[in-house]
Amino acid sequence: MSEIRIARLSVGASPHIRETEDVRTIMWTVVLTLVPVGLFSMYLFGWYAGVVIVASVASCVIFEAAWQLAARKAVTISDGSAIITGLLLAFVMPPNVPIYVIVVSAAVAMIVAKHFFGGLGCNIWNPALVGRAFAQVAYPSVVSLSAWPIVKGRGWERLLVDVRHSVGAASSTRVYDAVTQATPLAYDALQSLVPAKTGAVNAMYPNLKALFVGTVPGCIGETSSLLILIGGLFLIYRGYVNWRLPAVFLGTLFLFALLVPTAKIQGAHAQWWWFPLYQVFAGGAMLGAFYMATDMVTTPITSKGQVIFAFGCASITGTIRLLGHGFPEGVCYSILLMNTAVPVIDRYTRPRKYGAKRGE
Amino acid sequence: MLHKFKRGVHPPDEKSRTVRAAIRDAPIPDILVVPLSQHTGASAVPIVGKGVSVDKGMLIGEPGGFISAAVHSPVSGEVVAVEDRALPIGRPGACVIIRNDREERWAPEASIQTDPASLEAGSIRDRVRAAGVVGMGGAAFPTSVKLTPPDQHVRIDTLIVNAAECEPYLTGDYRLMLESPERIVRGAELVRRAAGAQRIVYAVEDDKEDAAKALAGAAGGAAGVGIVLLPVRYPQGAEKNLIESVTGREVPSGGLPMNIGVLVQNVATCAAVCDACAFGRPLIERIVTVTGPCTANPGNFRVRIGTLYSDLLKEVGLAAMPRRIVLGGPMMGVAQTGLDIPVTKATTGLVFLDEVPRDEWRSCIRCGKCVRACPVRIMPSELSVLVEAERIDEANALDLFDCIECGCCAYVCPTRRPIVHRIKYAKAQINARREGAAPPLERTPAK
Repeated sequence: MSEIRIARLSVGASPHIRETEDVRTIMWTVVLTLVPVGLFSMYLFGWYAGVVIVASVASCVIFEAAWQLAARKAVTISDGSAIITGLLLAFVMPPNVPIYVIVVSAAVAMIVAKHFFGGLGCNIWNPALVGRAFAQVAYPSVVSLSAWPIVKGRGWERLLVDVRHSVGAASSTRVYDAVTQATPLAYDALQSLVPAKTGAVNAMYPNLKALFVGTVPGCIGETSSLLILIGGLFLIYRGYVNWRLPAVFLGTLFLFALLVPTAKIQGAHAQWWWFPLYQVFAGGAMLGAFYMATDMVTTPITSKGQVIFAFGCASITGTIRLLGHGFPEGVCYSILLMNTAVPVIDRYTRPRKYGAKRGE
Repeated sequence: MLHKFKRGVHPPDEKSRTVRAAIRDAPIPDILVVPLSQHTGASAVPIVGKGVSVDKGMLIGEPGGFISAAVHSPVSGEVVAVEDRALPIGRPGACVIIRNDREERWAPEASIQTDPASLEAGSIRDRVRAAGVVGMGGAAFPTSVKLTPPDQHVRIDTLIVNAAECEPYLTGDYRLMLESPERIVRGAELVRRAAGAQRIVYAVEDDKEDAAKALAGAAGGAAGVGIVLLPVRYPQGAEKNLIESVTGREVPSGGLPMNIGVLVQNVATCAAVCDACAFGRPLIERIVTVTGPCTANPGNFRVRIGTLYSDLLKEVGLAAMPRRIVLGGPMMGVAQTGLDIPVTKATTGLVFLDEVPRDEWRSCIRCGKCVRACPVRIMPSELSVLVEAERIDEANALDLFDCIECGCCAYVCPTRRPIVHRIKYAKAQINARREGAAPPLERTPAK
């Protein structure tokens, strides 16, 4: 009988088959859902927004590769995670941010926040938000309101017109905060942004529709709740985002704004839902809820843990925005603070394993 | 009554290659290599030596302890050696090498016909033990031990006959259900009597309705017999999950199914129990699915224990060069080192794969896919990270020994982490430390 000869066999541990989806599939899908947000920002703010985005992505990728080469590690830039950090870092910056601020922030995000901890999977804090928090402290003058009106360009001029006429309020940082708190400071802030006499208090309120679509001033990628929602829903459909997390985040923020007494709603905007909805669509809440608080690495693993995490993020955001004094936007810091709490949340939200006694 | 099993995974089932292939007799080779340890527990002790003439079905190895199983000669012929040979588990072990004289001469004690209806619980257990019957779903736990409750407080009320066959590629149980449902049903009745159970539930995945009908036809509406169709989902047939799906009960962590009054037996095991009790036949052959993308004529074969893989491969032929040969299904099976390894009582199938997962893995990105897929609801990611850092005691203090090694976690992991491998390694470390202290635990693979 003839003997069948076979080549040397590969011996490895089970399972011997794998799902096709890998880390690249996940990361590049997230990148894809962020593309419309980036394109819209260029339409809205002009070509410079595109320059900021490209600079941010390039910086993040280069810093990651440089670090890995210097540390003699495998270069992993093709997994797409550095690109996501680059996109998100640009998206939370004002449209007139100087490029050097982006580059330095990207270095902090990639090297300090990500690779000092061991790279993808090992970092405690969301790298893009660490970069943003750094910029907030290091370059307060260029990432806050005072610098914004400097920006020139078609998009910006049209926006000023929008603000003047429909009073789509500014979002994010101080502009947005000014409106929501309706304090004299805010009034002054808006006055400085819109030199025309905006006059009536009523006109101080933004147009919710413009706010939702995104034709308002704000950070590069934060203005369009609509596009963020579409991208986020796609990620939910693909199973990369647990719907409970953004739902609890935004729902809690809505309730917070509904119940906190600082919000005095007047005139045409007296409907009970107006102010809470404004809180949800303005500033970084949507981007934070769908893209920052859902970062797999820095959020809890279980569904229960993610719900607690989202509740915590929204509560801190609401506290900073509505109860705090002076700081305009709370999304960035609330997520960073809750990132810190993730190990504790994970410990107390372990699933009840099969065969364990109830309550064990 | 049915409790939906929502976790687990849904790998491509790959069964179409052999699902319509009727069971054929594999050629019986001239030389058979019969391992003395084909089962969970102590190795059998050889009672034959070189030069001894043996009959088909003759006892050649006695059980080496309570948790052990008898081994019989699969052919008539002559013992040419008792020596160490390559085994499926990766290291060599004692085997009885028999030259087949092709006379197919049955040993007299292996051909006693009995009316199974006349047998009582005790004699069923004795016959099952004498016949060397073990769990044929892959774990090869001695069946007589499962039928012998450790004390009177244990009351079995439900026998679940595991007909899920949830591993991809494997179709042996399915063909057996279609072709010999009456043996399965008679065997299940005997197991029910031996265990003192009230009801029998046949658990079949819902893509095998014809098999379920065949079983229902054979059972003929006997009292206390039910058939449930379960959704196709891996690892539906894992013992713990099957019990939860069928009864809603959970096996306590660290406990056994009998602690909650349940006994699970695979369909092929039931058929072997029938053969042992009704015909006195010891377990000397089994159904093996030989399949995979590299096989030219895949099929389901009735194979004598001790037949080498190389003998089986001659029957199916190669269509492409295999990169990996897996014993069992691709989710839980063991990669084999060569073709000079014998079929044992635990060989559910041989899968010839042309592709193997890449050996590159990265840090856990905490995506939680493994946690959502885990059928026993532990956190595989966490265990793998702890074991990687050699923090094995911490892993043990968590859920290490609750893991059923089904492979769902590693199957879905987007960074391709060898999670099951890590967990098995940690278990081996802990077991090595306890060496000799505890009896071997039964761990049923999902099939």
